[in-house]
Amino acid sequence: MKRIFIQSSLFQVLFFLIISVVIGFGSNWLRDDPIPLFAGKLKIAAPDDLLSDIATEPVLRAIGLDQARKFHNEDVVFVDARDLEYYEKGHILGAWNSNDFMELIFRLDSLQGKDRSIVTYCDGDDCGSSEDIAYDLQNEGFTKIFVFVGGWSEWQQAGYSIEK
Amino acid sequence: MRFITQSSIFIISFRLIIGGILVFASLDKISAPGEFAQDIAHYHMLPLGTENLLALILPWLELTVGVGLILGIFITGASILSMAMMGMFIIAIGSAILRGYNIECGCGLKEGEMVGVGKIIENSIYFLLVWLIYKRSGNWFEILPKVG
Repeated sequence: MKRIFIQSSLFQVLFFLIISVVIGFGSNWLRDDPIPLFAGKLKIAAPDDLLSDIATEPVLRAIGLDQARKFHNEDVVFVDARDLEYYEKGHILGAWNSNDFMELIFRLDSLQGKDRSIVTYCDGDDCGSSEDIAYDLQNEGFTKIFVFVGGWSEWQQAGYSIEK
Repeated sequence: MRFITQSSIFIISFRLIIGGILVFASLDKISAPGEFAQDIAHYHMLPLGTENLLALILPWLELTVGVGLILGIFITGASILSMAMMGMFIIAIGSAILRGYNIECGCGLKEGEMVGVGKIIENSIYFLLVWLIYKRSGNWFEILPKVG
């Protein structure tokens, strides 16, 4: 009876699943940098986050087209998180490309230090590279980062300034 | 196909190939679950932030199933789960292509690999090899369960 149970496919599948769940959760709990069990969405920037260009505490928030436009008019640095070939085909006027990440952080740090606003963007709602690079910049010590969610698609459709 | 499923050489080779790929693919994901969760999130297929749960469990499932295939532990269960994972990868990549996403596949085999038809073909070949392991007609070099 016991042998039949162990030979059953269901038992074997459950064996691997249960071990993976236990080790997966256990190892995360033991890590220095555990991740939450459920991912939170990037929060929309609140008015307080937008008031000062200089950060008083670390900020990583999502912004829409109007706020992106406002930042652009205030000469906040825009970082294009798309691949270089897409950047070269067209990008938001004045945006920097992020192809060489080390050069990017060196230029940002030299120009404005780590506590002034930066806007990252990629293609649009469905891309993730703007959020990825925002987290990478935060890991490098930059403290006020905004992800323009609508990105290149929304900016272009709105007819705002671009360059090639 | 029967001559393949009846050949110990073929079946053991397939077990080592698929097991090796699964173990190798799991290592980066286990070391950086946060990055893997972001890769999963880019597919926009899971609701309610559950990409983190998958990022914590899936790499360990790949590792344990891969070790199972290599060492010969619960091969039937390991091959069923491998087929389920390959099928899931094919659906996820296919869905990303159909929706026009140009995203990293998060496959764990090579840095910066993007989704594409090539990845679907690759996973389909792995699926076929695992199916042949599942249909094997002998228990060659299997530690558990003991047969006979």
